[in-house]
Amino acid sequence: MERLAMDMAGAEMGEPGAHTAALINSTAELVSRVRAGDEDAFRLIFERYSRPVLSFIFDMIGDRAAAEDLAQETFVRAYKGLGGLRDETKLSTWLFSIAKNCARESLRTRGRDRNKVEIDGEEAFELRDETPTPAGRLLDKELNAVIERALARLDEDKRLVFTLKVLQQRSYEEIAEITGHSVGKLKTDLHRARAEMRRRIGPYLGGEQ
Amino acid sequence: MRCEDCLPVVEDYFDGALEKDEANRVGAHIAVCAECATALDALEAEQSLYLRYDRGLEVTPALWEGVRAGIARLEADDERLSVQAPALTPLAGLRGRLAMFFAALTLRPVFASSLALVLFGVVLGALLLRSIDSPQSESAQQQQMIADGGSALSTTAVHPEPVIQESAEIETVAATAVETKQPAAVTNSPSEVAALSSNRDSRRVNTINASASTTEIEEELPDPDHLELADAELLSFARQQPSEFEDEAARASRLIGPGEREVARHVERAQALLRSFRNTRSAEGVSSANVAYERALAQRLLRENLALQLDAEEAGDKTTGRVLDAIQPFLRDIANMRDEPSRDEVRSIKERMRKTEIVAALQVY
Repeated sequence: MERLAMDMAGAEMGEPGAHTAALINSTAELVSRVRAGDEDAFRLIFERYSRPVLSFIFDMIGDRAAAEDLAQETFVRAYKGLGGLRDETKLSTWLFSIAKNCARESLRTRGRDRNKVEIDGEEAFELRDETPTPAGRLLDKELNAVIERALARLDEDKRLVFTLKVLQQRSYEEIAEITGHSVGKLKTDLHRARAEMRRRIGPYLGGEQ
Repeated sequence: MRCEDCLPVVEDYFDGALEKDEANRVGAHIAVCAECATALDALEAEQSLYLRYDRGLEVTPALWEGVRAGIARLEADDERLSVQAPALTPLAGLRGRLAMFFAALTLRPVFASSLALVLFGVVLGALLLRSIDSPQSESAQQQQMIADGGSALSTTAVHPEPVIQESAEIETVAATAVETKQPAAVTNSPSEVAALSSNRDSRRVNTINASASTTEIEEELPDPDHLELADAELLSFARQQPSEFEDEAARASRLIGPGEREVARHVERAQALLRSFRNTRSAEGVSSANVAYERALAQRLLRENLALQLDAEEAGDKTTGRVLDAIQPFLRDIANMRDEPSRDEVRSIKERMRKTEIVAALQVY
C-alpha cells in the first residue's frame, strides 16, 4: 500500500513507474466511464480512495462519526463535479481537495479550535501503566492515542501539511495543489509541525529509537 | 559539504524535496558523517512510527450506501432539469428545441407571442421617444409656426389622421370662430396652444374640423411643403397614431404579468452574460483568462435568479422554475471563479455551455 501510494505520488509528479502507469490509465478510464454514466466505475473509485480520504478527514477533525459523514459528502461532491475534472490523472489530488474543503467547513461550523485543548487533555499523554512494557515499547493502541492527541494540538495549517505529507505521503507539489499554499510555506509548516509532534510524543519514543 | 550546510536540509532530503544535484551532495555527506546520518535515522524512525498509526477506521458498506443515497438525492434534483432529448431531425424547428430543453409537453404560444409583442413595442417605443421631441418643445414649434404666420391651412390639408397638436389648434380656432364669427387667426397664446397640445382626442378634432368647415373658418395648419425636413419628419411622426402603439404595447403588457416580464429581462441578461463568457479569449501566451466582469455580473444575476426561483416555486410556475434551474449552475460556476481562472477552468464551463446549448435555448425563451 505504501509502495502504491508512493508510486502514485511519483506518477502524479510526472514520473510514473510501470505499476503506476497502468494505474493512471485505469484511473483515467474509470473517470471516463463514470462520466458516461457507469455507476460501477464510481464504486471502484470509491473503493480505491475511500480509506485515505476517510483517514485524512479524521486526522483533520478528530471525530469518527463526522469523518464518515464528510467522507460521504466528499464522494457525493466528487460524483457531481467529475465532469469538471480537467486532468483525470489528478483524481486523487482533486478528491483530497474536496475532502480538505469538507473538513475545513466542518471545523468552521463546529467552531472548535483544536489548538485550545483543555489542560486535562494532557492526561491522555500519560501512560496508564507507568511500568515500561517489555523492551520499552509502547503498545500500539496507546501510541495511536498519543499521536491522535498530538495531531489535535497542531494548528490547522500545520495539521494539514503534516497529515498530507507524513501520514498520506503526498508530494509537496500535490499538497500545494490541494491546499493552495506555496511549497515554501508548506515546508516551513511541516518543519514546525514535526518539531511540535516530536516534542509531544518524543518522551514516549525513547524505546522506539 | 559541511554539517552546518547539511543539517538544515536533511528534512528536505528525507522528503525528496531537494534538487537532484543537491540531493546527491547531501547523500554523499551523510554517508561519511555520523551526526548527519543520525539526524536522518531519527527522521526515518519517526516516519516508521507514524506509518504504524492506526486510526481504527473501517470503510464499511454503510459508508458506500451513504454515498449512494447522496447521489440519488442529487439525481432526484437533477431530474427536474433533465430532458430526455429525442433525436432531432433536420426539420426540428424552434418550437421543438424549446419543448425538448424545458421538458415541456406543450408550449405557451400565447406567452411567446406576447413576449414578442412586448419586445416589439419596447423597441418601437424607444425609437419613437428618441425621434419625437417632448410635447412642450413640439408645441413651441407649433407656436413658432403660428407666430410666423405660416401658410393657411385648409380643411383638405388636414391629414385623415390629424396631428394631435394640430387638432388642438383647430379646436381652439373653431371655438374662437364660433364665438367671434370671424375668420380666426391662428394666433393663440402660447399657453393655450401648449394646453391644447396635450389633448389627444383625434375623433373630437374630426368633429370640430367638420363643424369648423361648416362655419367657413379659415384654418391654418402648417403646410408640410414649407417645413424644414426635420420638421416634416416630426410632423410625419406626429401624424402617426401614437395611441395605436401605446394600445399595442398595453395589450401585450396585459397578456403577461409584471412577474413574467421580470423573468424575461433576467433571462435576457443571463443569456447576454453567458454569450459574453462564451466569447472570452485569453491573450496569447497567457495561461489565465480575465473574467472579472462576467464574474461580477454572474454574482448579481445569481442572487436575482435565486429570488426568482423562489417566486416561481411559490407561484407553482414549473416552466419558469425549470428555466431558472437551468441557468443557475452556470451563474454559480462563473460567480465562484477565481480572479484569474486558468484557461482550462474557463474551457470546462464553455464546454458545458456548448453541450447544453444553453445560450441558444435562452434566446428561444
